[in-house]
Amino acid sequence: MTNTTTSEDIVADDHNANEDVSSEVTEKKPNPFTLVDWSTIAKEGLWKNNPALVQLLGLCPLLAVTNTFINALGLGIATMLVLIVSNLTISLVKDWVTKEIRIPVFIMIIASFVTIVELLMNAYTYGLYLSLGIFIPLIVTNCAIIGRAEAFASKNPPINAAFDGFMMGLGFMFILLILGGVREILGQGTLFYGAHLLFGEWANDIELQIFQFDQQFLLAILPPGAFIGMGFIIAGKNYLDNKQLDNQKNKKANKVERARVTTVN
Amino acid sequence: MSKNLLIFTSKKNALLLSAFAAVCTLLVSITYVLTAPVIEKQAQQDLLNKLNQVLVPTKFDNNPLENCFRLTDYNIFGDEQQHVIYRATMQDKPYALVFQTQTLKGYNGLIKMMVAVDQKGKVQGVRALKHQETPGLGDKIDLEKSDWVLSFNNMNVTSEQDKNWFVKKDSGYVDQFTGATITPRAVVNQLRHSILYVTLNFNSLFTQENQCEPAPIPVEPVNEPEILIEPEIETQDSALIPEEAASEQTTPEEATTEAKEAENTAPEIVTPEAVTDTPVTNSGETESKTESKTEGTTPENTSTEATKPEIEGATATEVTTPENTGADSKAEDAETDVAKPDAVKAEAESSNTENKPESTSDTAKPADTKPKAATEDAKDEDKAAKVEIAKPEVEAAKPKAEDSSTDEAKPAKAEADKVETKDEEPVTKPAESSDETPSASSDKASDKESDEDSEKDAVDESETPKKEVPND
Repeated sequence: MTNTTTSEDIVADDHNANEDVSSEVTEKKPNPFTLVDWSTIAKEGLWKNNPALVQLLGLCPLLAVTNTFINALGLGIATMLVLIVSNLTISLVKDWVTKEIRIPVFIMIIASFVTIVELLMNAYTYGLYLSLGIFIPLIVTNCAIIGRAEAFASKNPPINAAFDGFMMGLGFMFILLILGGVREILGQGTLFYGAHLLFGEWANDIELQIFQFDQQFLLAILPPGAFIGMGFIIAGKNYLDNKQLDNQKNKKANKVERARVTTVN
Repeated sequence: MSKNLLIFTSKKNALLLSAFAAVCTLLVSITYVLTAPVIEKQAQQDLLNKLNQVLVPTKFDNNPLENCFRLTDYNIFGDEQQHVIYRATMQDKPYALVFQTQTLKGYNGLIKMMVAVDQKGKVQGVRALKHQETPGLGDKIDLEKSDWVLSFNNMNVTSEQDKNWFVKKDSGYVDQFTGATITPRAVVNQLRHSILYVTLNFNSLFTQENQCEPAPIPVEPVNEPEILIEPEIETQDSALIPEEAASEQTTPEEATTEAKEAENTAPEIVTPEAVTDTPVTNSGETESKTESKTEGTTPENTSTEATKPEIEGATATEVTTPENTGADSKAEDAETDVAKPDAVKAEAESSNTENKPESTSDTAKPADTKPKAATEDAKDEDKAAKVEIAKPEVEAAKPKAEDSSTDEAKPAKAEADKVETKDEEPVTKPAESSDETPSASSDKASDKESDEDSEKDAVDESETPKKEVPND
């Protein structure tokens, strides 16, 4: 029941733009639990509005730490955790935070959670903490997080916000992993190198040597490789989108033809 | 009305903001408190892993983390910061020193290395701890990428021109990597310099006082001021100052025996066996001690007649203290601990007055040799001259250091070592002012001068990488 009140409050509080979005969500489905449009949120996070591919946010860590799969996974998980928790918290406190001080409050919340995640990683995944280095504290400056806080969490109920954080984090991690995997294979010929840093000693076995080089493929290891790889992934995404669009057009066209045919008959 | 409203909202905002800040800080603090012990443990474990990598596991049986000292020495560490040197021992006999060294002459920023050197100067292991060298080229100094660093194992550095410690491009024998010369050159040059220095000073370094006592640190908060004060006194001299200061203080003030005891026991917790040992080992040297003390005290308006009995008294208290400390050493420790801060301060003041003239006179000598050593790094021609000068200086220290090492064997206990270093160093110092400890202390004094030279060096060397950039 509390959720219904909050969702009403959103509409009331929403002085800013985007009233359409919130009113859409609230008006269509009054029940707070059915109101969560899971599939839409998931699609937005993973594909349509992917933070890395479409919003192009958080490129700095994306390019810097994707030199191995495990580094990418570590940073992806850390970012996702921060996204979920910060989205949830911001959505919970949004009714108390006035418009004027919302940005400092959001940043404070995000920075606190990043610090907590950093401390936890320092304590429990020490090797990964060392290998990610400065990029853990830099999650604070990952625009994907403050972007989601401002654009979604501050206007939606907590469950939606948390789920959005999860999906956005997943979408971000997905791209990180593709880039990390490709760069690691091309650059070092290995996959899951350093898995023990994240999972403990047993994970030494899952390290794969796919092929051996005398000389590493430097372009893939260095940041330019990440840029180029990123370009290919975005291009691939756009290609798929366009293809889908064409398909839809074709279908429509086909339907129309048939309709004509049927009418003629 | 609108004005009031504005004030009201801004007040509310301020309160809200501070409330959020407080909550966030609280959350972070709780996490910090909860994770701090684990993080500390992880860091210790990490350090121990590194130490175990550079040391040969079968050759030592102590925990090097509990046997270390802090030092500031440009020749070893490559910078002016204070660093920790760890000591590995086998059955309380010296095995190896583990130190960090670093160089800025690599291709991209700082290269930090950890090195272990044993008593004969043999390299036990070298690891690159931190670097940002080009992946695929310069990063082969990292054991994860190539086993190049293992090629240094069991090697000696005999001199600054040891061909084993130059890259092939500098007509040495060390392999450089394909496409990368600057990185291995930087590493090898830094290693050669610091390892040679540590090798020549091994014994004097190994007899430094232990600053990483095991467990009982959290129990006695009274000890903390002592630890804080000691670094102010130069580390090399810290051990010898109390006694001299004690002899000085007794003359003008007629200090009570309690005070004497406090000062005698102040620097360390003196075990009875250790103190009873020291008169035996130093029996031959006490003469020089008395001489030196008369020298030290005469400036203070005291007749030689007056000083002599006091010296006897001082030595007497040395012998008597074991009885006292032996009887209730732990009980007294507490008392002496309380007495320490004042005593040490007084010592520091009095020692300043005494040390200053000495150090200035000392700086004169190394000032001749040291800057040369620094400037001559750059040019091969001058190297011969440098080593000739540098060597005698250090080798003069060597026999002394060896004396101390042979003396060490007798007490055979680490605790005893401390007392010996305390008792011996005063002997060597006043007797011959330009040996061992003075040279070490004067190193520091002359470091400022050598800094200027090293800056010149830095300029010279910063030019060379530019020229050779295409090579890398």
